[in-house]
Amino acid sequence: METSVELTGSLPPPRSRIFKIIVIGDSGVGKTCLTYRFCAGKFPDKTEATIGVDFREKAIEIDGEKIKVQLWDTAGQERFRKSMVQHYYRNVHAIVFVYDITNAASFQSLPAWIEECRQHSLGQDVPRILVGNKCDLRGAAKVPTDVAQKFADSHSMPLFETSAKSPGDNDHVEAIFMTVAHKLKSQKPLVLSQIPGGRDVAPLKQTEERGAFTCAC
Amino acid sequence: MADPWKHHIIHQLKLRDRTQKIMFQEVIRSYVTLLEKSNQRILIAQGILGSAARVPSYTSKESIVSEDENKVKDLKKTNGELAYKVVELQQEITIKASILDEQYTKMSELKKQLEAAECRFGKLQAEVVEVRDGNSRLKQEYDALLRQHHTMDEKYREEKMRGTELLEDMIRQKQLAAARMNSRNEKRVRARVAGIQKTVAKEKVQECVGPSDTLPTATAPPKAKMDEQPKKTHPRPFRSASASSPRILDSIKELFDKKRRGNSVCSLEEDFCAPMRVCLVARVPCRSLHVLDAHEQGINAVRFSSSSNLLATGGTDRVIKLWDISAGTLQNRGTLDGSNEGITSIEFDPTGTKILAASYDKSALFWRLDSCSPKFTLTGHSRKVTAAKFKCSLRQVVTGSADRTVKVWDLQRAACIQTIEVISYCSDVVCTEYFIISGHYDRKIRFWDSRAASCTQEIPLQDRVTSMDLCPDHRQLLSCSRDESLQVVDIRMSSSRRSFRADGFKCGSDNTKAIFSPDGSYLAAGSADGAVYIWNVNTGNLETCLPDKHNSSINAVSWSVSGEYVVSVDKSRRAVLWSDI
Repeated sequence: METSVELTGSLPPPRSRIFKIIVIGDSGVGKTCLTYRFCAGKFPDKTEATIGVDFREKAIEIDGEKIKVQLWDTAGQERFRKSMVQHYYRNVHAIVFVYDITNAASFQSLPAWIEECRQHSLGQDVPRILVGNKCDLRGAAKVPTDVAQKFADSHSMPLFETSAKSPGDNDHVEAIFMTVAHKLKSQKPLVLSQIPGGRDVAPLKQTEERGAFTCAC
Repeated sequence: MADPWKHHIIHQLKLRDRTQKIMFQEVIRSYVTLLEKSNQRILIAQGILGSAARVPSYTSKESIVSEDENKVKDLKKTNGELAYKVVELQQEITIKASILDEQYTKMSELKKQLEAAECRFGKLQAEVVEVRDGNSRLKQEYDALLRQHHTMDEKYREEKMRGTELLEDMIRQKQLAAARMNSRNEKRVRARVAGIQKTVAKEKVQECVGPSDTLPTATAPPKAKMDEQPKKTHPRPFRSASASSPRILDSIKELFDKKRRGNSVCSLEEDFCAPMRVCLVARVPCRSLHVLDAHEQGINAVRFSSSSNLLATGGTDRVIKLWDISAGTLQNRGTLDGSNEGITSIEFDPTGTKILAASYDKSALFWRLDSCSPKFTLTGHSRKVTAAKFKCSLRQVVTGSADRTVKVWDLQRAACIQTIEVISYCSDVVCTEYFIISGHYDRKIRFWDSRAASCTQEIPLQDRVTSMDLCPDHRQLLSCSRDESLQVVDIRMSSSRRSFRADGFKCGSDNTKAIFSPDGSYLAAGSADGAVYIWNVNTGNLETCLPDKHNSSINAVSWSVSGEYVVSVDKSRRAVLWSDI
């Protein structure tokens, strides 16, 4: 499998931290492309429907600390994901909701995805971000930015609009995930008392940092 | 008296006449002709002499004349009439002739038409033949195509099957990969924590050595700890009071608790540790280890914990008894009471720390085994609750009842959040991630979309459904019905069904419970004759039959998660522990 190859080639040193980030959204919104863009730096030539999940990892360095970002590129099609859902949400550190700005339905089903997260008992302390993909097709946009921004605000998520395809957005895609990584890193500093239950302390931290963690758009 | 002589004379005379007449015949004839001729002459003479002769009779002459005249008139008249008639007839003749002419022309026209029609007929017939030929050709082609279509269709179906199989395989592998990835992540976190703990220990040592130097840094962590403490203890019901325990111990404890950590009372993460305990091979029992009368009255339900060999039995005597297996015997470990009527079904949650029971008293009951918190009761059904099951999210419970409803309950609020009207007496429910499946007395199994509460599918059976069970991989559904058969239905393709029967197997009651073995390769059910029947799912054959230990109808069986033990319970309060050793 492609994924396992990707992984075995880059096993991180045991002490570096891993952030498990799941990318979810309707099928065809570009989750695979987005994650591929981030990890491989380019837009994939051709993609097929993801079955179950694909794993992508990228080593990054934040403030001198090496960190592995482990992206779980989940399947959007119900039949390819239904038996996998519990694995997705296990010990997840952050969630990236993706919709397609040219597809209103993908935006409308976001509440269902958020509800799924909620059903899997993920607290508000798990950082979530909302990504509107396919900005290169701005002309065919069906989801206005202000509507999306309102939605994002109502769920207290930052919104990013980007394109995994357009070559100029490379930094942007990277910036999005880096933002998440920064957020996670700052949320789980290497303080003793917070090791076992790092996530439990998050709400406090999050409120402090909300100002800094705003939408880049 | 007669005069014979007269006769004689007559006779003689006649004879003479006959004989002599012939001789004069010729004379007579010539005489007659002569006479005729003479008569004519007389007449002519009379005619000639007429005028002379008529004079004497003048009057008669006149009358004759008038008579003749009249006759002449008449004749003339008739002659005129006749002439008129002749004219008329002639006219008629001309008319008829013209009509005839017309008809002739018509006939010739018709003849022409007929010819043309015949000509056309011939052509059409030729066409018909042609078309018929064409049709037969087409039919042949069609048949060939149909055959081709059939074969293609078959191929398509095969390929589709293969496709779904491949997909399943792939998903299974992905699942494994995901599980591996998760466990690797966890391992890594654990390793980190262990490393950090070492440093903590070191720091502690340092703290003791030089408290004055490290005071500012050392005070900070405990403070954070204090902030954290109340938050942590609250959402974790499984932890014993640990507020006073040393910090390191605490964090180690938390390591153990890690899997159970979460924000809600029954978080999903608890669920995650459940699949870890997967039974690889179930061992088919062959002999009984322990037979005892476990309850005061009949036992309706039995269930092994999903994480250990802990066993719960529930009976008509209103209590649930907990048992442990030690040295091949069942040891009573406690009693859960609280039901006001008999228990109908029992279920453990995947962690094995919670018990859910359904009761005749129209309620479902929920206990936690790891804390002394009181049970809570889910009330709202109007008749006996036949089944209560945890939903996959574990914060929710689904109950089926004789009042023809299925209710979904939120465990945190202990409130009913959804009621599904299910048309018929509901005898059992099971839950997959996306479906609530209910079995009914109207011989149907119904699938309900757990979000929309709409019936997505119905599977008809031969008789009343008494119980259902899900295969551990949630792909197959077992149902037991009163037609003395077990049915295994593939949940994704309800068309693929397999039936399991056995000579002597008789479904003892309307709530006889059949189960899958924990590895999903066997089916077990108790019969009315007190024997436990075990089928092999893969071969479809009866694997074994365990008779003679029960004296009455078996109500339920349960197979331990380890695969080693089977327990069967019957109507006459007896429980039997079976094993393969």
